Amino acid sequence: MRRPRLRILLALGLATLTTGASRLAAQDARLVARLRPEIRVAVDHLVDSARAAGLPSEPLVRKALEGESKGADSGRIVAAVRTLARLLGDARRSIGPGASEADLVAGAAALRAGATSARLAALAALRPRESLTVPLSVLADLLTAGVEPERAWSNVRDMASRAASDAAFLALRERLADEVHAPLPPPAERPPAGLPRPAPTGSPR
Amino acid sequence: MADADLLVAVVRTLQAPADRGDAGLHRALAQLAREAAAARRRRRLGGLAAALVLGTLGVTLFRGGGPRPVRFAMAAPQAAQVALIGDFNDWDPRANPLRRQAGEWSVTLRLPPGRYRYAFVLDGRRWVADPETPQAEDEFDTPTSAITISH
Repeated sequence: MRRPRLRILLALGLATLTTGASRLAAQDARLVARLRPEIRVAVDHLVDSARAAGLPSEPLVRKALEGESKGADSGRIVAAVRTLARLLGDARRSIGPGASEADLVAGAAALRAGATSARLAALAALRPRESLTVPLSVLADLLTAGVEPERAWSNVRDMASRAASDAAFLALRERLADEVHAPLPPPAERPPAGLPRPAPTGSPR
Repeated sequence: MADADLLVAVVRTLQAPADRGDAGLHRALAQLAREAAAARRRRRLGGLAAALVLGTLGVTLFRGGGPRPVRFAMAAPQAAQVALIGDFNDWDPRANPLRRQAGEWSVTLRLPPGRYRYAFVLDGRRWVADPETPQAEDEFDTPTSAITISH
């Protein structure tokens, strides 16, 4: 009777040790080295949840390290990591389960900049076999630069529907962002107020 | 068939009793020619298959997007030191110091395709966005740039 009990106790002890060891291994050494314990616990929890949901954890670790490097307080760091985890999840739901980490990071950036989940899904439908990293990143850049959302989206969508190259997307970004930041023309050359803007061509310069 | 195997096959043909004599020699040479032609065809097909496999692999690697050299540069003539920090180096200001050359600070990293946020830190305390690349969204109210590395 004693031996089976001993075996059970040994098995339980081994299981406890194994679980503890894997838990320690799951903690990112960078977070241990650079985050204060109270922040690390919260970030570890978010990272574990993301892993369990099948989301990439590396962008979350990087976000926490960015906050630490920029001297942000604990609440702000945890909030930024939590927001990014939510956006990565939203991006994956929109793009699909096969999305790469790079696609999800770019998708999260586009969502944060104001793109909608429906537009991410539409872009994924237009490029089912190609990477979405550059189109999504360009969309994020255009929105962040202040390009009007409908105009940014219609240009990106048109290029995606024409199977434009990554280089063409990057050229589009340069062109539209330059227009936003270009100085206003002299009064004599300005179009009268109320006239519609020229229609976007969607093609690179 | 390898050349050694081909040679063995020819010798066996020549050694066969029915093939002794001139007629046998002609048949053996004809057999040798046929075997050589077949071996050439097999080698050609093998080469074509290998080229297809290697070509596909090459295209796959290219499309998969290996790391590319990316040069980060900053004109900061008054700075004593400039560091590059971003998603690619865990935002560690010690990881990628820039070198001054001809009045410009620069460093080149190899980055896989993706979107990266980054900034320069001047003299260990002043954060500066890259004026040559788009400004990035930032939750921490710090100048930050974004760079997109294409496939």
